[in-house]
Amino acid sequence: MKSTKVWIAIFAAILAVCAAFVFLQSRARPPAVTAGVYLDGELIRTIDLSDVREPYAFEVADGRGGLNTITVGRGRICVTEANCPDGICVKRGWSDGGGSPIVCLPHRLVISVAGGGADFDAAA
Amino acid sequence: MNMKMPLRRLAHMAVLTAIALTIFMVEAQIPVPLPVPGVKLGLANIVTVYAMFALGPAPTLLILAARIILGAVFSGRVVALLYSASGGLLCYLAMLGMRRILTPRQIWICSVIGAMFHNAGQILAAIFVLRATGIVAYLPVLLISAIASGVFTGVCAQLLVNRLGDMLKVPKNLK
Repeated sequence: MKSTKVWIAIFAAILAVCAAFVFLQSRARPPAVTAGVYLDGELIRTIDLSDVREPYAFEVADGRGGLNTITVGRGRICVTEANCPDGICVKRGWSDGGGSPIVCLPHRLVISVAGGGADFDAAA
Repeated sequence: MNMKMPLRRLAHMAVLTAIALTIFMVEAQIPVPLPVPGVKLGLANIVTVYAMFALGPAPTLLILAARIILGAVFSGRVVALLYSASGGLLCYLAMLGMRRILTPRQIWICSVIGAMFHNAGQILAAIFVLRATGIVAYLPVLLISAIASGVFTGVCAQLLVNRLGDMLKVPKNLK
């Protein structure tokens, strides 16, 4: 039964190597998630979402009375307040890159997130 | 089909295929706690390992092929056929090599090796289908799960082979 021990040792070694890999993978920095805020099709602000420590909010004015309050959290972004009539952008909620971009049509504001979301799930 | 195949052997293989298919379908209904595609218990592997040691390589290949094809059809995931077939083939070849060098008390080792090769085959198929080599990153997680589930299914198969082995052998006077 000596060779059984050899096999067990081989399996243990593979387990250890794999566990080390998984550990390193989990410690690796998550891929950068960036949000681009577009007004009238023009990029007015880029935010590195993976680098956000404390959530914060800022306002975007479209120059014609339209006002959107955008809140940024770690890895996600959302429009929390808007003075547009429908408020679809607010109802859209948080975006982390999966799905469609956040759009406020009345104020011609588009927020698109790149690099986040679950791209692999769709393939699997 | 070989007409000389004894009826008893044919019936044995048919029953094993039905068992493997049933286990496969029931297991497909069990949700997996990890969000990694390919992680599963692989209980149907018990039948493959058992067949490999109790019946031999040729019947095992037939049972495995029947289970993979019918399993894909029954579960409605024919797309997954390529993954299962590639994993199943590599698993089979690995077990074929292991069969000769293992004693009856080491059958579980065959299962672990088979499970690891099964997942390696799935990864290879995924790389081929998705044309993305990044999927290799899943291999460590899959290998850990393969060893864990391989030990479990292997011990089950080993118990079966060692306890049922003599019972299912064709008595000499009937040959």
